Amino acid sequence: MMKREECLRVLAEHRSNEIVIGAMLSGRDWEILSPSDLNFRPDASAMGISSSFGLGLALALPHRRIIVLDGDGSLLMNLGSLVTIAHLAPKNLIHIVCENGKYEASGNQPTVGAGTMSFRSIAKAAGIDKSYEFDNLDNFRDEIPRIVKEDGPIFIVLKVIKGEPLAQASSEFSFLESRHRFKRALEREIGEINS
Amino acid sequence: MADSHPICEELKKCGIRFVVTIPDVWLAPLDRVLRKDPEITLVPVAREEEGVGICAGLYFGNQKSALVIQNAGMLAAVNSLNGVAVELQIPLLMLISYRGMVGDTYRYQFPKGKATEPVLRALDIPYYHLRQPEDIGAITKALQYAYTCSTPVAVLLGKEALEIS
Repeated sequence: MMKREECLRVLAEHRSNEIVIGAMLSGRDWEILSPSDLNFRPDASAMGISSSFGLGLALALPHRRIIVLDGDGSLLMNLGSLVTIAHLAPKNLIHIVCENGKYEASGNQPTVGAGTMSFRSIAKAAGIDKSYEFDNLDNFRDEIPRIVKEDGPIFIVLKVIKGEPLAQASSEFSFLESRHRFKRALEREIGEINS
Repeated sequence: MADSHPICEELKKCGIRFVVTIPDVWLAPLDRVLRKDPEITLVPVAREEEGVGICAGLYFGNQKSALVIQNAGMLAAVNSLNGVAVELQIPLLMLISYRGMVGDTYRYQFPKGKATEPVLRALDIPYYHLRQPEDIGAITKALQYAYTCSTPVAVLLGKEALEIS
């Protein structure tokens, strides 16, 4: 088993200009480990939406790589998005789920299906052929440079242990402010691509 | 079989290239046309909440889209409509077949019809009616409203507006 923070640090080393759509604690930790105006968490008030939001971005910006950093509880709320992603098959989408078997943000209650269900099998059966699962940090570190260069859609399960989040939720967090910052950052990026 | 539909033409006139959808009997004539139109990228989804997220992502990527669903689907997607589309000020255009309203003959559709407008009002989502083919301008107006005020807007589609004569 791995720690989420360790996995995200490895991923951050291989980030170039990817747009990263986070969910819950994975997204929050990511913002500390790989800060960028191209990070965004759309799920502050609608858990589970991140994979769909990332798919929309991937369809709109086929020339840009989109990474979705999902949680297991979040993906369970939107399992159908795996079917939709497989059907649309965007080459530029990497969907990563940190699986700790817990609703960590709400008090570590076990997720439904923890220990009996396999996200990787579900993703493969949905039609995402490039589905991976890692429970060993060295293997993940070895494989990730190759995987992030593959054509998508790519689905990666990271089996992690419950860890301490790097930051607590801030009561000051302004969803709307983060929305405007992200939109402006994208407009700069899209503008540069078009010009 | 018709290879054009006034609603499809109107969407294209508005610059919409992505249509995110789940079928409905009333929507079927429009659905057939959308699937065949080479200028439209059809994004079929399994659940309407996905559609809200996808349309939001498309907007951030600077693409106009429409979410074409039945009112049952709008009701199923209420948390995402509230927590993503309204809260993030997404100019989301929804075209919603208004089942359980004038023109519907199935009793079991009416609970949805009854709840549709009160729920949209509770979410503070403005809506237009497109009851007859001559109301087609409602789509352009709704999209203008959505982008001017950066808000989701619904167009409630009546049966007659969806049938192709």
